[in-house]
Amino acid sequence: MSSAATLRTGAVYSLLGAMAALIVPHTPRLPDWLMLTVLAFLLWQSLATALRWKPLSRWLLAGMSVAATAAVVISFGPVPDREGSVVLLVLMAGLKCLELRSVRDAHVATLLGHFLIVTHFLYSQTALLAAFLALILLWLVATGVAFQDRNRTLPPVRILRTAAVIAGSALPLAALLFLLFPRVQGPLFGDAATPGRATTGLGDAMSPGDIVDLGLSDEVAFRVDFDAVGVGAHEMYWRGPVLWDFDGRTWRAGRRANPPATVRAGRRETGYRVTLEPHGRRWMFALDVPAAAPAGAVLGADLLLRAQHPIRTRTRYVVRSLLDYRVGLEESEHVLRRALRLPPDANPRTVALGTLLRTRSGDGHGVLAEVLSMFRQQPFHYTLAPPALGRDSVDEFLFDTRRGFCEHYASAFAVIMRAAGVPARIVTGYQGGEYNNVGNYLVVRQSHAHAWVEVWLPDQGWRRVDPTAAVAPGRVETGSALPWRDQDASRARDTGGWPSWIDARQVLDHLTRSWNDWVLDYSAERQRGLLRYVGLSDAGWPRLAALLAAAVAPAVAALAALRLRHRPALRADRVDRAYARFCSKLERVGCARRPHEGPYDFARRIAMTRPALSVPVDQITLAYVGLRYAHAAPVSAAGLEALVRAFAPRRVLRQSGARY
Amino acid sequence: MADEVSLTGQLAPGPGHRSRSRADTPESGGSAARLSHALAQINDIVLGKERQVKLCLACILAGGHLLIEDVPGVGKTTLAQALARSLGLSFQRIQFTSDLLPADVVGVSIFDQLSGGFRFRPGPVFAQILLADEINRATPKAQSALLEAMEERQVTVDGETRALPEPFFVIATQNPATQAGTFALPESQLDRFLMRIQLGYPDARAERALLRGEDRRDAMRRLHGRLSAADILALQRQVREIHASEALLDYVQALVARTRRPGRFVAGLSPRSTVNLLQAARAWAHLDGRGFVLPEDIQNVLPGVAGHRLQPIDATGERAQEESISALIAEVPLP
Repeated sequence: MSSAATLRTGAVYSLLGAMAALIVPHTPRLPDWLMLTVLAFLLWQSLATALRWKPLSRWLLAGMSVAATAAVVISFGPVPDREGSVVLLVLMAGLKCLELRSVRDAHVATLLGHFLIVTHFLYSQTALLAAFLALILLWLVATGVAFQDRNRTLPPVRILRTAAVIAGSALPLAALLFLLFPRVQGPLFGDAATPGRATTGLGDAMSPGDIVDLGLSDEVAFRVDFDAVGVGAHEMYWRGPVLWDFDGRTWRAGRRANPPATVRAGRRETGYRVTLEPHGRRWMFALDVPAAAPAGAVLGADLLLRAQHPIRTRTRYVVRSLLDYRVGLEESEHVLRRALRLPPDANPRTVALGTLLRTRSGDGHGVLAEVLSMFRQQPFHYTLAPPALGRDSVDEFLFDTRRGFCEHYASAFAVIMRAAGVPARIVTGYQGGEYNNVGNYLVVRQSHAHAWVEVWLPDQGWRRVDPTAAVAPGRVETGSALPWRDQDASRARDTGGWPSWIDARQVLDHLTRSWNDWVLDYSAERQRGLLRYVGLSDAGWPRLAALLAAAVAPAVAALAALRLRHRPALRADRVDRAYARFCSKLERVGCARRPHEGPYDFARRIAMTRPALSVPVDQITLAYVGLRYAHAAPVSAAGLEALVRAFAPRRVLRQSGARY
Repeated sequence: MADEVSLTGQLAPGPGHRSRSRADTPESGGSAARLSHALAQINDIVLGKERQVKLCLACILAGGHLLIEDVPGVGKTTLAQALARSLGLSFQRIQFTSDLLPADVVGVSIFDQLSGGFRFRPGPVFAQILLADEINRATPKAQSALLEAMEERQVTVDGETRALPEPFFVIATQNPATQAGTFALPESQLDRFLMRIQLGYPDARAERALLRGEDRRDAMRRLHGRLSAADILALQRQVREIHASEALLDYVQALVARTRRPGRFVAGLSPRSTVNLLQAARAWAHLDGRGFVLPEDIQNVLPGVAGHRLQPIDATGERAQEESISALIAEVPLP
């Protein structure tokens, strides 16, 4: 009997499809040979099912599993790491798909699929992935139901409904486990990022072309909830590392820390909460300029917030920022000297221009105005695809190519300033953001990365100047879509009913944020908070475990009670028990009795499909029917039991030469 | 262990096998053989409808009235006539029309000048088998005259109650209620029919035989009565003695309880229908030559017995009733 005879063909395809859907997304992470091998297994099995090939021999399969295990041990060592374990699991799941002989095999393969679902969470935990895997889970459960439906009578809709009911009944239990299972400090599933994997974001150095990589990245850098509205787009400068040292091509933060600058606060300030995505560095972004450091961070010399450890998990902090301020009015001499330093023999044309401007306009204010008007009036172009620059990058940019984006302008501007004797430094960070109207928060993406300049003027201290804004005002103005802008409000009113600003991207980002907030960042601390809220102050793990058991036990008991209630009446007498045994023996050779099928109908069906069995089957059926339905029986109950005991359908079939 | 022989015979391998041996029913004798002759004779006239013919016979053996429903031209009347003739009973036929009066069914008292008194002239209802053709084309008044006779097995004319002959069967045919010019029988009157059979179109083989073969009416004229009234009464008595075990009654009750669960049918099966169901299953078992009822018998007769009594709630499409009954059978496991 080939595998197709025992297993529902549609369910086999469904299982293979679900497996493929689970394995393919692993492609970028796992070795190619593994992908090809396992997909070949799945393809082979689908062909074997379609064309009714003989199943592979058990010896061959056993040999293949030993070889697979050996390959994993050789490649990943005897105690495989995460990748090795996933490789082993994927391989074994693929192999199991080759061995679909009985319903039991199919169930084992389906269960392996459930484990494969978990492996995805070891790499990523986004809401979209979770939704995708939830669908696959439903698919797998439905496949299991289809395999269990041995008489192939359930229509697909019923199968799906049953699967939904099964998966749905697990939800309360899953929610309980999620809320109460003792947690280790740290994110769900540990650190999703591979240690040493480069995380995107700003670095502490900047050379031409760095930011453009970020500019094309849609990844979220951080999200911000403001306490109140009122921060203009032109004020949305998210301060990051400050770069002091220039070697003619690259700007660096430098190792030397300056003494803290003095800050004089004005009237306007704003409070907000930042949710920073992990970027592997210590700095934390805040609006120019932060008033004080949040807990667990320090406010450094360049008014940069620094965490105590590199940020490897999503981090939340509340900050207040000053919108009117004067910084570094009393800056020390050697700091200013550092802000004037230029490499001696680089960019001679720019240095010459700076010197000329200095002599022509006298003080820093004059130079500033002149350079900004130069950027504004001369044919500079803002583009994210600038021509490549050589050694004297600033010279080439200013006098030859005149095409670039923020870092070119900031770098050129700072060099001119320094050449003209005005202290200048480069600030990197993000500018603007995207307002999410669905969740009322601001999303700052890597594409908002920006660089601008701070110049020091004796009467103003460090003053922010954004040369990019002089060339391409739109870059700064449209960098964000703020809700308190008038035209947005009127646009929302016009469309009536369905506001035009709700677009799919915003909804998706809002979902991601809620997912992060409520699922991924449900930490041990927040668990304690929740338990405190319901009145359990000291929640160590033994107590949690007890609580969990107390909560889960009734749920399991309720499910069991429900299950028992729907169970057919307990088999009362020995006649029924003997017949049930007879049916299960037949089921094992692929002839399951339908629950409503009468004994004669069943026997007649077996006589048609397995003629070799008809003699013993008829004999037992007669005995059973006689005992159960007639007023006289050919044998006693004990006789029936003996007949059933002696009944060996597998052997009879083998002797008769029937393939099964 | 006299049973063993018959049961083994019954279960000999091969699809559609039917055994006629009935060693387990002591008083069977010749009537059973004549019954199988009758069955074969009807199957010669009504081609390719063995199952429906067997159901009709089961209905008669269970002592119930039979309703044959289908679109015109599929052989309803042919089947009814073949049944009536083969059973060897006296039969009458009424063609129901919209102007049929009750007196046309039960008969009238007319003045006899010779005797100087009223003399009752019995209507066609005074027969052992009454063919009521296209019953739903008559007005409810004429219908109810017949239906009363079916239930009481007697008619009352001019204050005098007259018993109908024994046995008495009504074989009625009707068009589906969706056809024009019909008066649908109300549920209470449908309930008086033990079974409703739907014939359906013949399969290709049967239709070809029909096209090749001689005129059905000629063949019909040559039919012999294979049974007698005494045979029928004896067979009915045998049917009543067919054994129904506790396990089987459990199954019947589980099935009936399922029909009464809200959600699928407008109303469940009544206790009377339940009794009818078991009786029909007994007759089916008897036709199979068995002395006891099996769940399969119940399942075989259930569509005929319950089809016109169970109205599915979400009935859509031609076969909704049929499908909901097969679904019902599939839902109830054997005890």
